[in-house]
Amino acid sequence: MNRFALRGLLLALLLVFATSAANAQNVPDKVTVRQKDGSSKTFDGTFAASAAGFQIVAADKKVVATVNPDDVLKVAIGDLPGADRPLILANATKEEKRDWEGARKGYDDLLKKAGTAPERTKRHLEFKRNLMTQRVADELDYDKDWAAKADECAKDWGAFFTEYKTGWELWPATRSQTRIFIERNKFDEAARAWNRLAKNAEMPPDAKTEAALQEIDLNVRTKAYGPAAQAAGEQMKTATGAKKDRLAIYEIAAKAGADGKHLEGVEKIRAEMNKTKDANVHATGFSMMAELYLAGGKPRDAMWSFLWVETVLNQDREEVFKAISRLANLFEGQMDDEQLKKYREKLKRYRSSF
Amino acid sequence: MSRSLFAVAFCALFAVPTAAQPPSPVELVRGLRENGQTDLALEYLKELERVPLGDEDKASLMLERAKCQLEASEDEPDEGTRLGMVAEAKEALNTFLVKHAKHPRAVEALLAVAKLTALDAREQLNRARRMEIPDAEAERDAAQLKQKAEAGKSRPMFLLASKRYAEASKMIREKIDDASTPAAQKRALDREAFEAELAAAVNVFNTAETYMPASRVAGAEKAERNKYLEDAKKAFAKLGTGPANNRTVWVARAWVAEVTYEQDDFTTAANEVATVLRANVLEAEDGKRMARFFQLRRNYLAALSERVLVKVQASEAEIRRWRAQYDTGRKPTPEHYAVRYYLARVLHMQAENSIGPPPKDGRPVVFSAAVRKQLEDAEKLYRGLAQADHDYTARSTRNRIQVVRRLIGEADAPVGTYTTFETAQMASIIQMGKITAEEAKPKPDAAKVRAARAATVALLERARELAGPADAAADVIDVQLRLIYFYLTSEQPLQAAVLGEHVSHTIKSTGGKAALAGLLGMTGYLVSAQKIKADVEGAAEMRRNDRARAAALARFLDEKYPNDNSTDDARFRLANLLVEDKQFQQAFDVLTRVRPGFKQIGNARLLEGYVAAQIVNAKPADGKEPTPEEKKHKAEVFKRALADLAKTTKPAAVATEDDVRAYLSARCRIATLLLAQGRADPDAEAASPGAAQALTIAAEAMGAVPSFDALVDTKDPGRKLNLDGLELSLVAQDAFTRAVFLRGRALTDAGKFDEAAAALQPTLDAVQNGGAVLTAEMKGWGAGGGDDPEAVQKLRVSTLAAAVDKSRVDVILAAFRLKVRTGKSAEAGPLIDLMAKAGGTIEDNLPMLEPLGREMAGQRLRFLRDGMKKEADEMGAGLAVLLNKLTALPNLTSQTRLFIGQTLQAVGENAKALETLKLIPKPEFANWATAKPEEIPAELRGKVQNQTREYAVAQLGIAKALRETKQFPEAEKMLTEIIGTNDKPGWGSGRLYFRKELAAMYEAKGAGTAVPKEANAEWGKASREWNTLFSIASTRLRNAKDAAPEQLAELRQGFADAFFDAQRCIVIANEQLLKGNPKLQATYENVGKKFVDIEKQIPAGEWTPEVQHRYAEFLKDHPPLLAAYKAAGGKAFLEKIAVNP
Repeated sequence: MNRFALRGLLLALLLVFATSAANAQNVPDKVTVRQKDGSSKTFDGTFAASAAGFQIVAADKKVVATVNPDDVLKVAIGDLPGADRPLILANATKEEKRDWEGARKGYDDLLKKAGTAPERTKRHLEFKRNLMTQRVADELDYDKDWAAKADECAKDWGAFFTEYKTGWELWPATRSQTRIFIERNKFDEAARAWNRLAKNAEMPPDAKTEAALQEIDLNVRTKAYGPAAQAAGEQMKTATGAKKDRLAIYEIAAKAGADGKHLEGVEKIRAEMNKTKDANVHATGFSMMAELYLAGGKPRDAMWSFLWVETVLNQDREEVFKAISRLANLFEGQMDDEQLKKYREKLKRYRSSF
Repeated sequence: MSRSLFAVAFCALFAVPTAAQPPSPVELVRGLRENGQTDLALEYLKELERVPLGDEDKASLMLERAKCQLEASEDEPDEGTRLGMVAEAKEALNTFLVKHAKHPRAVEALLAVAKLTALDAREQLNRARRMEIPDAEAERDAAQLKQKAEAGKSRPMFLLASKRYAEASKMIREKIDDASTPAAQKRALDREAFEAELAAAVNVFNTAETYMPASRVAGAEKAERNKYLEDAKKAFAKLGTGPANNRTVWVARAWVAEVTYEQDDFTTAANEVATVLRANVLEAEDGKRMARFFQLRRNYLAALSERVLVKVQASEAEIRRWRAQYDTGRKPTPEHYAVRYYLARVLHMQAENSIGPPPKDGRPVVFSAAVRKQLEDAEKLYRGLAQADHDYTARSTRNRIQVVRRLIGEADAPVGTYTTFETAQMASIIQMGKITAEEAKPKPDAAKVRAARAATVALLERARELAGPADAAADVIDVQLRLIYFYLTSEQPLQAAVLGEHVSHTIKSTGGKAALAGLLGMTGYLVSAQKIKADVEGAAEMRRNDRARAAALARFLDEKYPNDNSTDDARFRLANLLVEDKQFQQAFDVLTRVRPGFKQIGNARLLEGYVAAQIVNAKPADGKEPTPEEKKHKAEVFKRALADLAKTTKPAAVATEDDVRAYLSARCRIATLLLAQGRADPDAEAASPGAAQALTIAAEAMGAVPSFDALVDTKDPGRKLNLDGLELSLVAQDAFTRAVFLRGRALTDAGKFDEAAAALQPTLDAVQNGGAVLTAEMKGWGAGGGDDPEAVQKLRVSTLAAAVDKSRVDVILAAFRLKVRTGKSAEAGPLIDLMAKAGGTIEDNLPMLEPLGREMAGQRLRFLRDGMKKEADEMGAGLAVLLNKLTALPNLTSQTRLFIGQTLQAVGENAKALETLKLIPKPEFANWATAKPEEIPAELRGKVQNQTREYAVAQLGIAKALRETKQFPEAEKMLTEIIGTNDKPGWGSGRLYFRKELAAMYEAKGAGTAVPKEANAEWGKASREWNTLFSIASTRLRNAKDAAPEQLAELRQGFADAFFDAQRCIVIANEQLLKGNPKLQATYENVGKKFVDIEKQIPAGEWTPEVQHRYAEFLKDHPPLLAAYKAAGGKAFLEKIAVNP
């Protein structure tokens, strides 16, 4: 009996050990996604990006959900081989407490220790470290070193993209980097960042199209009208629905810009917008009208168009961010210090809300 | 009887088309209206405007339109819009009654007006009832007195309504007594008379209710109140004895019971109620509903004051029963709103009682599910009530905040934690409550208000973001409107502008909310425009841009929501923008679309009057005569503005300052507009001169000012004018004085000298006896302004007083001219002294005297030229009076001396002119003659330049006077010194008028020299001087090759002018020197050919009349030269070109 008892005890211990080991390696990612009705839902599984889409895949390889990367509200990363889980959790706690610097150091330490860890682990840790670095910068005031820190962050992201060519992190990383470029008025660099993603074979087609749209949008803003018009024409061959409508607007804007007929372009965009009730298409329309007004020497009209994007058609926070950034520049030009201050504060609030 | 039944009865009873006639098209309008299709009725009315109708039908159109508007207004949920529609209808009904008092349907109009008067009275009484009465004793007393005064204002209105109903009833009964009225019609008419009498009695009862608050009614007032109650009771009782199959009888009996309760006779009242409720005829239903409502209200008020739970619960049950029976989806009446509010209140009260006082240890309040349900139900009821306009709107809004606070706390959590539209918007209400509470404090904390505003904006934005299809559309719209409003009040006009515009274009809502959003958006654009910094590049363009957006939004509202009050507001603002941009016709068109119900209709009409004056007084830009169409249009604008201004009716003596101001301002604007009648409507002017009408109207306005309590110190036995009274009195005086001036001038021009003198005399007397209107005290107000409203008003008063004094000076000058004109120059002198009495010294009035002097001097010369010696002498005598007065002034300035000298010269008084002009000193600055402007210290530069100019003009005047008095050597010496030589130029070498004067002097000397050789020498000098001037003009033209085309044309004209003088001098000289000598013909031929040469050198269209006329006139005066010119092919100077080609 003792022997059986001993064997039983041994088995029980083994079972406990085995279960605990299995748990330590198989904690899934928890991906919280915004639903169409405005509510949110959390999916468990491994979050990954591939040509098939941004997917949450269960342990049995079944796809739990395919999501739009811009709808992802939060990713609580699960088990990362080669990274100490309690330390990951500790960093997550720091993030919740908005201790960005603490979290940044934590991820940096983890990254240093993850020399032999799989790429997925290293990529995520570096992504988080960069993100935390940006969070620290995000909280700085415009006149308190923000620009220098933001530029450093953008460089870090550049290194990240050189190192990693796959992974769901590429999407939010590109968003983060381009937000810096937009705020720093480096639309050409932002366009290049999206171009890289649009050409990434590992990205799903939808994401590539959206990346291409972003590139076109930023090319119009940086007055690279030729490439913008050409790309819009190309994309329109395959795009459908609201994306096609947006592309039509980009194409009008780019062609009008190239011909120097900015105000004619505005009227054409207005007519194009009247064909649909889609708020996102309208937001694109107002953004592009604003850009044409700016290029056509009508800053006040540009201001009003950007304000439509900010105040009324504000479903897409990324578009709103671009509009706010442009508005801050416009108020600076109008010597409206009061508004400039408000908009810089608004930009700061916005940065930290992404 | 229901409203439509009431109307059907009139349809049958008062419109009596004969069988042979087809039915009037107005009948269709009436039918549509009575079927509730007011929109179709209004549409058909528009079509009928183009159809020829008889006088009676035409009048009926006006009545029908008003009644349609009244009907439509009852479906309008927005108070502002509703009031606007009612006001428009009221104006039309009053006009109908005034113009068609004997119309068969006059009684309908009278009843409608009576009803509207009663509604106005009710609104006024409710205003008093809504007033907050604080708990603190000291504040309560003052508030109660204010409430009492406010309630008292409704008393005469109720009595007037009652009187009108009684009059209508009398008219109906006369019809009943008419033997020709068929029996069936008589029965229906009898019911109508009953209705009118019931309404009259209700208004008497309401008169008794105006004695409030109860604690402040005692003694004589209590007796008065009881008398009205007794009168009402008698009237109700009389009606209550009618047949049981008449609904009015039962309603009257319910009212008898209510009055009896008011008289504290509870037993009798209860018996009467029981009788009504026991009735088993269908016609008693309305009476029963009324009786139950009165009972319910009494029980509710008792439960509320006693705070006994059982009674409160009983009241709740009674209210629920009433609602189940009567609040069943019909259009809510005031009773329905009242009962809903009572229910919310009892639920709220029960919940609060259950919750009790907050725990002393600070623990959060926890309440049961039942209490939560009560709070939630109360909140829903309050919310619904707060979204419509009625007596309980404000109270519901206030109470709702308390309930919401109970439900969700202080709303201080981060915005993101509110995850539903409902919670976010409720939280925003709490924040709004905090703003209200903070602002109500004697010293609000600005930082707290700002923070609460920011929190409100954030919560409203959150609510807007969370709003989904499941949320109540009305609530979502309210959130959007509040957000726009709070954007505006929290200094975010840019956001208010775009969101306001967006909402106005997209929401589908009644009640004027879309228009309100648009109006707020428009405000956002205008505030944004104001905030653009002036020193920003392109600031003006940016401002124009924002204003254009505001204007476009206003035009959108005008088109899409024409019947909303906010649209009227937008129209008014748009008109102001257009006036600022001098787009008067557009502004006028917009203003005529503002409806009578607009709260600032008085101001809109004043602006319309101003704009009309601008249109009428405008001169065609191209100098052409206006076309007949343009003249007709001006007359129409003028008449329309006058008619609109005349719509502002005279208020009662006890009316508010706003009403009185609107009325008097409109009257004065009519007066000033009438002054332009001659330009706008010459036929009307011929029939009845505008200035004469203006005089009457302005005089009436002046006389009316002290009759209004709001404009006087009512405690002063002499009814001394207060500041408002003073201001309006001055507005009237200004109009009056301007009318006097224009009337006097018109009569003088027409040769009606006695009438002119009579028109001017009262103003002269007023100045003589009362002196200046602008007192020393008012002068002190002239420096006021800033943010203090009283200081701003005082500044306005001071400016007005100065304007009246200025107009009075104009009257005095008109009297001066009249005296001179009538040969009474000796009497004109004192008038100059009178000017000083009208304010300021004679020197202060020089800006007016100088033009007068010049005008008289010019007139005198014209008389002389036309051979009117007597008139010329009279004018000279008058001028002498004026100049004597001026020269007698001590310490005359150089400017005045210059004016006197020049005027003396103009009338040929060269000796005196010389005397005066020589007193004008050289500039004080030592090197004035040689110093360049930049060498003079900046602080002295302007002064030295002025002195130099005055001195130079004086020296020229002296030279002219010397020439005209033939003191040639003195003139020559003086002028050659001033001009100097080429080697040593004098201080006036660059002033060509000295050279011209020198040439003219040589010409005069030559002309006056009989010895040919000596004369030849002088003419030679003259010719040399003219050639020098020609040479200067040539050089200037030669050196200006790169000048702008206009500048080149001007230089060419200077060249032609100088050329002319050189040639003219040769001709005149030779006509004297070669008189009778055949060689003279050679001069004519030579000069004639040269005139042709110059004609070819200068393009035909470039000649100015000033220069071309000199050539033409000279040729005309010298026929041999003209012949030579013609022979050489000259054409351009044969006729004078038109002054305005």
